[in-house]
Amino acid sequence: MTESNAKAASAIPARAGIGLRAPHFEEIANDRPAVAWFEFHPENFLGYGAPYLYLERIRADYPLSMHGVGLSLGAADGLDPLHLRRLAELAKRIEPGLISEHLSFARVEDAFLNDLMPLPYTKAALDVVCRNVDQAQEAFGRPILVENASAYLTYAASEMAEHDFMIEVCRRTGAKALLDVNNVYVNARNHDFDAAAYIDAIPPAIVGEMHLAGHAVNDLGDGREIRIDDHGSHVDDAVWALYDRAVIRFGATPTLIEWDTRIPAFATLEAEAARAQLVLDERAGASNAA
Amino acid sequence: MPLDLARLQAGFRENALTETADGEAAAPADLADAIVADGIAAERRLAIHRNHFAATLVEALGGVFEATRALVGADFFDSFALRFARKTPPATPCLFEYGGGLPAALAAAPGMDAHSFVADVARLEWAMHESFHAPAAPPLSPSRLSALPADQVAAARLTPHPALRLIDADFPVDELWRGARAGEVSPDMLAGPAVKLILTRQGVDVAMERCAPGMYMLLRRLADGAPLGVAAAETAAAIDDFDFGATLGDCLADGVFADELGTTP
Repeated sequence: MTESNAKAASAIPARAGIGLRAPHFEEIANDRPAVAWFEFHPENFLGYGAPYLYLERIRADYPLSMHGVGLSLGAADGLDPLHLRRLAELAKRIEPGLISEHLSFARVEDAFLNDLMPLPYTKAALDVVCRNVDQAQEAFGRPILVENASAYLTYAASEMAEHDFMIEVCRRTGAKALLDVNNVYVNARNHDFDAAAYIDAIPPAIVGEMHLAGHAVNDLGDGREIRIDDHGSHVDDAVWALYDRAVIRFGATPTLIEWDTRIPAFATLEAEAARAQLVLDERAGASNAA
Repeated sequence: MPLDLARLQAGFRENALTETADGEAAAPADLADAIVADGIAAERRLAIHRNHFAATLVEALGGVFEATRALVGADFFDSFALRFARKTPPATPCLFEYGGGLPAALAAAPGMDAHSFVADVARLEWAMHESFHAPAAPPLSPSRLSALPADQVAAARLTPHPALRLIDADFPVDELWRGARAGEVSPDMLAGPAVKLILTRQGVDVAMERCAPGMYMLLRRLADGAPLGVAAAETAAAIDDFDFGATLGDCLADGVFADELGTTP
């Protein structure tokens, strides 16, 4: 194994990383900015074409985490076996430090709806998700991380709280939690629960990664609003405050800055990552050594 | 009785894909009934997901078909793309694979038969997109071909490079493509000649070149699986002053073949 391969296959450090997006490929591959790690969406690289060439170059210099958006862990009819095979093949080639997906569904029957739609938190849905997570972990040959998704609606049939659903998935499958702090905040505001209590209810041992992103406030008039997880702005101050609490509770944890719409200059993402790193350094005593 | 998970998810599919008249709900009533309203109607909550499907896929298609969108106008393209997305949603989570059916759907749209150059430009854009995402592979090295014993050259089967695309259009789609992206399309362009183009990719950049009829026919026949000798003879018979040696040299320089050689069984 070459030196660069050894580095790329290494674990994701408990530091702030940045979501890898196409407008920044060239700059990252050429300038090799000082970023602790990157996270990529595998769905964009499965052609093994030009985007993959960038990914290979970036892989030589940085630890990479693979964060799927299309596996549809909540799909009632099970995972798409072809897509799972393609993901497993990519993971074999790239050897990402972490592999993660969402606690939601994205595909229904023959249609991929390009959305992360919320599950009812029922025992039946829990069985479906656990079966799918087991199957994914079997295909990848290792535990994955499961992310709490944002939600703009809840179901009357839900039998447990969202965090209890996630904790139970982790307990039954051995998966770790990817705690999206912005999603916790967005859902707390949308569905009127206490975000701090949510954080405090998560056992520190199951948290393997955290996400931070910006969200939009959709004003519906009549005094109502819905917060939309659009990853299109700076991390909200209230989310930074919640992240502070999370780092105190969970300790040094790999933390990703995500920005997916109205993608800004790379320097803006570096500044957000630096702010997250500061919280990690101050609240978890994370070392500055890379 | 709570909604079965499969039925709930089918409701989201319906919510995203159903064409509706103004004011008509896209989501089935059993899904809306399963959702807690809590001050905001279930239909309004579901509309966020319906709009997300529409906005993100229209944006994705507009990114692939940028020149096409400029030619027909953003409003027309976006509403066409939305109908296309609802009728033929992505079959895989890899959005780079989505949109191959759009040029044909556009060609078949009412009123488009008088503007067939639009679908030609859309076909070019899809071919460029495919070339960009095609697997990286080294091109055929000339030495591999020249190392073949002389009596085996005619029987050799050359494999098209994964990123090679051949375009045969009734209009100068390369000029139209550039013009549309620069906002400078003139009626003169429509009076221009039919063109044959090859798309190749070295590294991360797709290159588009006009190509002579001889080169186009040779490559087309080779791509169809003809042995080199047969493709060359057919091209020479059909095209006056076809220079096989020079054309093959150009092909090798452009990297149009993958680095593997088959032989005729």
